[in-house]
Amino acid sequence: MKETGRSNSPVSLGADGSIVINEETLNRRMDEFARDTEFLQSLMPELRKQCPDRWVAVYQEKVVADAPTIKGMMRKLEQKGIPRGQVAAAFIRAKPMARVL
Amino acid sequence: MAIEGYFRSGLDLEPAAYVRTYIYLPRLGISGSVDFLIDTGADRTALHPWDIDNLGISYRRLRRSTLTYAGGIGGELGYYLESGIVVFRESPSQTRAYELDFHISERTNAPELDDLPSLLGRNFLNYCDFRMNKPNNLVEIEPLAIP
Repeated sequence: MKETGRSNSPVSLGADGSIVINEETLNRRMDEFARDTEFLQSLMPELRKQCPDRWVAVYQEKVVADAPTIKGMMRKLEQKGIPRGQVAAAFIRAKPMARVL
Repeated sequence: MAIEGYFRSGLDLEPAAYVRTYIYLPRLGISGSVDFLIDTGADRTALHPWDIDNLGISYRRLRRSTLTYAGGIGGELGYYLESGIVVFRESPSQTRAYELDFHISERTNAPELDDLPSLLGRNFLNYCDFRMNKPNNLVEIEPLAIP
């Protein structure tokens, strides 16, 4: 079944307003997301050459989509049935940009 | 045990302190993984374009009455307020969950803002002991008195 950010949440509110957590599902999702984020980070030098100025998405330790815009990438992810809220992604700038937030 | 963050490198010129979370927005019925840049310069905890789209947040469902504006170096940006829950892991099997207000950035026509990271701001950090030591690769958050 296609999983989305809207369903099967491991975090919810109980009838009394208390926070209810399905630890097993939460831990699995956070572990997977951490692995994907680390995988994406490890690819950065290569991606800078192959996909400059594009968004790149990683899911289950594979590059699953790239596009010049978020909108374009979301369309590709939807076409592939990849669940929302579980994808690690970054915009790969050809040259890193200094940020002052 | 404190919540451990990490240094993300490769995207910015300098490695930056991030923390992994799972967030839940009950009114919208939406949840998902979000890595926040730990930002003591931000008044608020903010969700920015990639995380907004990845979570599947629809702007049609955000309440216009909650729209406020926040100033940054690059100018002013509107944010919708949404109450939610943030969950951190302090060890592989231990989680900590807190109620937290999230500020969801409005859609802009400025693609250069699309890759702004989501920010964990002072509405959370001011209630924590926060330690960062890049030479030792240490990022730790110890919530003390979250309201």
